[in-house]
Amino acid sequence: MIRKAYFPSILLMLVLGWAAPLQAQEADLVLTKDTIPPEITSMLAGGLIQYRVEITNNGPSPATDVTLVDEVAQIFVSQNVSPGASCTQMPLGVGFAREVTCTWNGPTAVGETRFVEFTARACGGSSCNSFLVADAARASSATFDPNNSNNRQTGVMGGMVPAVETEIFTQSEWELDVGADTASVRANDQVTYTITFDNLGPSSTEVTVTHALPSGWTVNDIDLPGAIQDPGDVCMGIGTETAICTFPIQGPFICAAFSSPDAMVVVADVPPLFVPGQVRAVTSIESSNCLEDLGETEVNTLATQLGPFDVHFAQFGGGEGFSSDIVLTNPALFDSVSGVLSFFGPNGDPLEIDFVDDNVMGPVSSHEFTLPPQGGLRLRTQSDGPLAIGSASVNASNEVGGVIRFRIPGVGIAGVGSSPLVHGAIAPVRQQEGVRTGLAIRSLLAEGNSVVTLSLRGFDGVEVPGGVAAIALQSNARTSRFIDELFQSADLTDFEGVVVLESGAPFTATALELGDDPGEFTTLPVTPVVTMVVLKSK
Amino acid sequence: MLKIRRVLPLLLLLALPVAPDGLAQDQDQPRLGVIEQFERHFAQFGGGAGFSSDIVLTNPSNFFSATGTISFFDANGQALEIELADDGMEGPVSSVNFEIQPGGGLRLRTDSAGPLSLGSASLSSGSIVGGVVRFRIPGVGIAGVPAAPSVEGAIAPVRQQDGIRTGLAIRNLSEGNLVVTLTLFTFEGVEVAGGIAAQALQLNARSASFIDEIFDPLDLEGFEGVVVLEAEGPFAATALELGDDTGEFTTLPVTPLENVILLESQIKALANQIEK
Repeated sequence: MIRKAYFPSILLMLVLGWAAPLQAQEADLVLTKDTIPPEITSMLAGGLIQYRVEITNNGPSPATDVTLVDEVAQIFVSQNVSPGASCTQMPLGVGFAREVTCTWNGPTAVGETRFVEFTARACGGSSCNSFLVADAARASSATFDPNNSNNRQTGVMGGMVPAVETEIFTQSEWELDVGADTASVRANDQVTYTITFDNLGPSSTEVTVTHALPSGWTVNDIDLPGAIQDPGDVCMGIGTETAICTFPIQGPFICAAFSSPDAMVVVADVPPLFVPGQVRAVTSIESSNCLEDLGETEVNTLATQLGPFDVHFAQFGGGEGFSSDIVLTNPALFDSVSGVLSFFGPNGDPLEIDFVDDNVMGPVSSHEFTLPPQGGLRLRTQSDGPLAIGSASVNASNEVGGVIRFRIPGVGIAGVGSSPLVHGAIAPVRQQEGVRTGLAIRSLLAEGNSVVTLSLRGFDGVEVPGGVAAIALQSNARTSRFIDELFQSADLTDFEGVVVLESGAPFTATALELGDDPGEFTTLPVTPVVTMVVLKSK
Repeated sequence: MLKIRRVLPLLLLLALPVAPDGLAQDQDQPRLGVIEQFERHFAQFGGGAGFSSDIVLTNPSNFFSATGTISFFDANGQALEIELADDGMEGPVSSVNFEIQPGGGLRLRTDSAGPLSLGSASLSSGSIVGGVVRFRIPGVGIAGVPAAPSVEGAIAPVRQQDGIRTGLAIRNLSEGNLVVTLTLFTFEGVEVAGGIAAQALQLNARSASFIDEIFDPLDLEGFEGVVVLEAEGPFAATALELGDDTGEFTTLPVTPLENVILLESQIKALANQIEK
């Protein structure tokens, strides 16, 4: 087709007698587009990507007023253009996309290339296998272009210039925090876990939070704090060991990460029977993103699970020839009993102690056990090595019988039953005929310090002059002293009487008698002071 | 306002968990109890031939005196007349009445002179009393053991190894004759072949035997495990260990067997076991 505008030139050429054929002004613009550096095939959502769009005039004529229009579908950041261009931007749709138009006024010589470099930020995708497609660039000029297909991308009608496709990997950095309202639990208790999480981006996504309880625990209730609850939040798992909540994505198609923190509260029922010890609730967060979380994906919270049955041994240890046998028995006819034996040093810290038994490897500060119905267990401390003295506690799923048998070479053996938790106790004591009584006292306070007061009395119940003492104990700490060490200002010559122990905090105690002669070695249990309802007559 | 009814106290006391020493177990909460009659027992007791026993009682109340009686029984359950070495005790006695001041105590010591008298002792009081027996065998040593509660089943650790063997003292607390069966188990809860015995006890009678005597003719050398004691009526028991060397002498409390409420499924399982 010959355009009308070219007629005057043709006529002029004919008048001048040119033999050459008539030629129209035309310029074939060729558009290319690629990433910088070329051929970037994948990137992380939220990252920056650069494109370079080039327009080359393949002639045969100069192109006048070359214009490039490019729709930057992602977050437009900046542009860099070859000299001579004037550019304008126009918002495109909703969000941060822009249509950029750059024009180089005047001629663009044959073989000359004009370019624009765009910098954009890839939006956080909502799912895997999404591609960032750049396919809406087109070039034109005021000069006739004989081949439009090579100056338009495939997204533009008739365009043949390939689109630039970059796969976007979605990823989110999740912040997850789990807290429990208690550090230790007993049978039938309830524990409330509060789970908070936040998406620090770059990608938005649907998210599933799973809170797996310790074995045997069950989900009693799941609550989503109302202020930030979304109507699409879905939770399940009540009555099971695992609470699962799914939180729908918020604004997945705009270039903004879902960043408002959310929360989930799980109330768990502790079962009536379990193996005492440390248990773990595992919380994990999962999204539909291609890549896993950049950092922490789960937080484990530990709780100490306590059985309903506790007994204690205020005196325990081994070494330097001395040894202790702990003998546990299961008085149940049909059910096994499981539990944990824990050993504590004088200051209440875990005591690492060696046992001679084959089933206890190396020094341990605790030992898990299971006793069959009408069965038992005997653990014997190593008598070699340095002396390690402390106390022991049994926490079991059901009642156990407990006895400690001490052995001091050349002195003898002495057995004593386990002691219960008390707030007050009375023990017979004496210092006569070469035999004197010692008291071992162990704090059963889980945290903090406590004071146990001791009152030395005659058998008539009258306090002995100088017969008052106080012992301060840290959490789980123990002490053992003979009565002449406890009551240094009291006259204990040929003394026989009792000691009353009292504390505002729980403790356990046992008495021990040691004499000058071989075999003068025994332990005596203390009697708890029982708070009684007063008889009306009294 | 405190209103006390005397018809329930024993039931209330029985309903409380009982510790091996026979006293209500004090967990985190102070215990409330009403005492009609507090009874504890010493299945092993005696004196003479150099051997002596101290019975040491303590009153754990800070407000009220504890009054009661200690009675002594011989092996056949008859009243045991025994000499006490304490001041004010003249002639052999078969029982002693006592009153212990609040926060106070009492010690009774059998006379180690004269012929050996062995038996058991029972304590009866209108309030809770702590009780311990301390045995003394010259050249062997001393051993203390707490008073035992009344039980119808108990479990005790036993052994016969390294020259040490365990003995069991059992006292009939029923109102007639009583047969106590003893079954020997390993620590794994497996019954030892031939490890079953029975002891028939008259009213108030007691027995004291070592395990190799109880389970004769079993060879128990090197054995370590438990004995389960069961009866159709109440009894009290204690365990005692005696060795070849000086000082190898101690007593061990027994643990009451768990009161069992059988579920239907457990009854069926038990029936199946018996059937097999």
